[in-house]
Amino acid sequence: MELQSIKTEKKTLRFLVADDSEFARKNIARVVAMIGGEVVAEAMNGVEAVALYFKNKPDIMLLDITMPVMSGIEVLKKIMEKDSEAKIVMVSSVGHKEMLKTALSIGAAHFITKPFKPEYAKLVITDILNKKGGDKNCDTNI
Amino acid sequence: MRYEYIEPLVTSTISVLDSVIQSDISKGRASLVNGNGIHGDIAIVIRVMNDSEGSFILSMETETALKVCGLMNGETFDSLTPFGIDSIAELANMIAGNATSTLTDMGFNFNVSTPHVVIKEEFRNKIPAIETFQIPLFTECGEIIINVALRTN
Repeated sequence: MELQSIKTEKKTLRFLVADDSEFARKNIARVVAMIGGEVVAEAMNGVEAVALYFKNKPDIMLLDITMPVMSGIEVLKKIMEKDSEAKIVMVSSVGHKEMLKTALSIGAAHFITKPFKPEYAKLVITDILNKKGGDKNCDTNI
Repeated sequence: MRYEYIEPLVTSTISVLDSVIQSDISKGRASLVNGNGIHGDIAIVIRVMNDSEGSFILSMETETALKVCGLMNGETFDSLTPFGIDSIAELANMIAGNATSTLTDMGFNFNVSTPHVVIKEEFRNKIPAIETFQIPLFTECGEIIINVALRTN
């Protein structure tokens, strides 16, 4: 499947993927590659997710909710407390209204429910980049 | 057990399976079993908490699990590797998560655990023997059985 990529004129978008499932991380990485991004780090639990975020400062973080050690919601809180400009997309199979409200109120940029299609992920990421002024050099080619 | 939990679980299972393995799926005859009547070689167990306590379990034969892994990953699996097991667990996770979302939006209060995989030899020790509602699903990969073992709190 070919998707037009989201790339900036000067750089490739850098992603951090946080999910305790290896299958989920690989699947998300495949989607990131399809849309022209690069996965710079992968986290298997919430504590690792926070540490890798501040070590790598990705353009976008794709964050699961149900994870061992620290939940995705706690990860979101900890990152947003220190970096209010963080662009974090919750990617979870648990997508009920209360969870969405909670995540968005803490500062999540968006929410994707698993399983998801690559085309939808691209729409979400494009939306985020456009809304937050993202990278002004970003060419979304829609 | 509250039977209004069953439909969202069944619907989510079919919906996620359809999305992930893109197979024709048909439902078999439902049954209620007492004790530990899980069929298959492998079971993915997700604990359910709050309004009800118990487990949501997907069970299947090894051959079915291998085919499902293969379709999920676009490659052939000759044996159930740790990655293959993780793939199946994530499938169950997506199903349970989707069902939980539906049930929560309906007004029920549910939380689910991360999935854990149990092999046949460990069923008796690791899966509680409580009344279980079973629905077989027939897919191109083989039979996948939905097992719902919940006690209302």
